[in-house]
Amino acid sequence: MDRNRAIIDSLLLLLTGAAMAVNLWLIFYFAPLERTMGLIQKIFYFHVPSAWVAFLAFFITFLMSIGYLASRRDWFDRAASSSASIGTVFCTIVLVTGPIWARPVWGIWWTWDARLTSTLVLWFIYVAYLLIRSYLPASGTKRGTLSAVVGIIGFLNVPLVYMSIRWWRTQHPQPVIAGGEGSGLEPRMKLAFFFSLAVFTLLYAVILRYRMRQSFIDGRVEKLLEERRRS
Amino acid sequence: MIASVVGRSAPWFLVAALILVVIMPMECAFGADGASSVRPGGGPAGNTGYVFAAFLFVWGALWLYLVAIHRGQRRMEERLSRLEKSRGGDPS
Amino acid sequence: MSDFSGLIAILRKDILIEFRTRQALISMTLFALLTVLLLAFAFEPTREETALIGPGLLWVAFAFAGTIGLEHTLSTEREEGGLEALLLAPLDRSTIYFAKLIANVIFMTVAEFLTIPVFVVFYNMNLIPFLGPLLLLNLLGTIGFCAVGTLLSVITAQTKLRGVLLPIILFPMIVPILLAAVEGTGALFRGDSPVGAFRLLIVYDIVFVVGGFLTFGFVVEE
Repeated sequence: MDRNRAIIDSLLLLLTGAAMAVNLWLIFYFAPLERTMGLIQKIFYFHVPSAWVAFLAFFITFLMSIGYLASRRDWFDRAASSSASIGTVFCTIVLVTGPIWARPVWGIWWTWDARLTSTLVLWFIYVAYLLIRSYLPASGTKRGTLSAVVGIIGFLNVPLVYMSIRWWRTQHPQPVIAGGEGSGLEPRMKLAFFFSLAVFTLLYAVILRYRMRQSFIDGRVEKLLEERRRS
Repeated sequence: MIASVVGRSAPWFLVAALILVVIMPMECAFGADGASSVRPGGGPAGNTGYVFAAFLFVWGALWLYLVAIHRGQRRMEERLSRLEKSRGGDPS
Repeated sequence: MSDFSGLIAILRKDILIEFRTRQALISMTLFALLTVLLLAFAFEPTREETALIGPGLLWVAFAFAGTIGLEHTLSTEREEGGLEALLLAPLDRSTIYFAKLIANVIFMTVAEFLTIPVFVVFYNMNLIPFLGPLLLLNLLGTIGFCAVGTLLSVITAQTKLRGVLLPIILFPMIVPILLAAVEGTGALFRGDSPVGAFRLLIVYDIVFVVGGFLTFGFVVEE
């Protein structure tokens, strides 16, 4: 059992490393250079998958929070909080790569556009989630329950924030993947993009696995310390 | 020792590493004036190699960091189970 | 005791306390007024600019004042052990939530009503032609604000930092209210239809009143 897990972990790590290397090659050499934007367009292969992972991570936090409230099993709490912290990191990447791309292409670092602003608001919500969690007592069920409620309420806010900000005119490029007249990616770009999406998702899964195990270890250490304090 | 340090500061290392993944290579792209070296009709631009190398380096560092976490956790789990056994009583 | 009479009893208790001490109302109103005053000093807006930024200023003041009010109602309950006593009452948890929500809405609305006339004087605005829709807009925004705020204040009160964390989580949560209120009021000033703002606020209110209703029981357990 334990041996199997070690093998799976090693294989997963090797696979991730290989996929990351292939991903970089696909992005920089396989996908053609964009005609007007040039090299800076490559950021798209990092920016969009990061955004996807951030939203996925927050959605999983939402689901796991509901799961925790329904079942009160620690596993759900670990999954929810780990996912939220990873999502916050990827959300930070989105917020950093966006302005780097926007500066040469739009000529400005930032604009108060629907997608940009809602990502920023999202970032604030989940930073607050992590902050609240870090100031709650680790023992007992209080931390899990209260952060689960914040995880649910915070995610419910996402569509509302997006809807409300859409009143301002939106400057963000329309999704080019979804199709529509005149949109669509060059096939090699598309391949690189979807590969990158898969690699980022894999990276998320691997980090989530380690993060959850880490918080499991934390719990065990906490329990041992508690025992020593009592004796 | 190392394992516990790695474990304790894991989230912050991760934040730093993942942000580095993106910022550092993009600095390279900027410094070597990425946008102006476009060849009409596509094909890799002159400084693609540098950007690629920078990304490869940082992503490599990230991967090695993941491996370090993996090893640190393994060591820590072993020590924990030894501790939990040695404290006597039930091993639950 | 039925849920409804329980709700009325809690509400009556809260209003009675507030009527005798007037702590929350005085601090909220003064805080809102001071915010309006400070912003007026800082920007010294002309009449045209006021129409543009006025609603935003007003709602920033309300949000700050509302946060103070939420912290206040909770801290009085905590000091006297009131929340424990409430939880011991044979009432559904959601009844307590609704009672607290309604009490907060009432206090905040009164503070707003006291602030708006001063705002009108300071900024030379004529609100009379669209006073009705404006107040309805404010009421809807206040309900949403308190629906989220009542829940989150109980959560943050249980952290080591007490109330410090409340604005940090509450302000990003109320972005839609702020935008809807600002855009809606702006539309009223320009003579456009504020239907979009109303629709958004109603959706927001429903989502978070139901969300608070469903999760409040978890927040106050133990």
